[in-house]
Amino acid sequence: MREIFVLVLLFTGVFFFSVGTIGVLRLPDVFCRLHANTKSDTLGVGLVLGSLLLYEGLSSAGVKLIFMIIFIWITNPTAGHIIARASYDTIVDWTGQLARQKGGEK
Amino acid sequence: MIFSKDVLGMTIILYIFWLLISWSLHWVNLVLGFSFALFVAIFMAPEIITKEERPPFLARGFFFLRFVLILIKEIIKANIQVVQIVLSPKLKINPQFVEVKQVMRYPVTQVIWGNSITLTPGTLSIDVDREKVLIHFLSEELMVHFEESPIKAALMEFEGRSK
Repeated sequence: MREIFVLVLLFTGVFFFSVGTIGVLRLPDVFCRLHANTKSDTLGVGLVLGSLLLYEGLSSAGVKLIFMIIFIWITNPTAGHIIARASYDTIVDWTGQLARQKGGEK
Repeated sequence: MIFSKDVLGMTIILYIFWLLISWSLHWVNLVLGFSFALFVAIFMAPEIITKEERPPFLARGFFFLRFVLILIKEIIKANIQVVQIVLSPKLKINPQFVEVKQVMRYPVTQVIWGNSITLTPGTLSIDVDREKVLIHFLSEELMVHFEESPIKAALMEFEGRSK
């Protein structure tokens, strides 16, 4: 019974991971790609590690899994934010939209 | 004063972290962990915990817990929305940059707010500072949702302000 839950959680996580990857390939520029990546990777990691936690139970490995989930949930949006800000500052621009908006501002 | 409240608190947090990571109750482990935690806390607590980063709300754990639950709900919503956008044959997006006012008062909540913007549906924080937040929206109708985002309300409540 527990294995079924584990499998369902695992495959949901893998599904979100693949959607994030497809999003990175399909969406037009770096910011839109980050939308797909930050969100689905965060939930994907949560689900995959959560399923492992369910499989493992509260043991020495399980506690480390909890810490991994917490730290990845903190650092993943931060990393996305850093990438977005760096590309905004250096005008990585593939669609022309950013240059328009930035030209009006600064 | 070396053994201040900060040092004590940091020692306890580090010690709990050590115990959970090592996951054994052997006496060598207990003694070693406590001495390391105390050692690190005495040297690092004055550096890390400044007055600005210890706002009056650090004890309000209940509100933070509620904020985390709301955040998880929003992350799931955001993912469903990402799935809808990415897997639809036509990409229905209209990306744009919007600058909004910073609503959080303390640096800690400003950082949490910046990170949760990234995790809410259709928004991505690009630049966060004390006065304003630059946000990248994926499409226009999401702006309405962002304005009345439950995360913002929960985080402001955590800061000790009413909505």
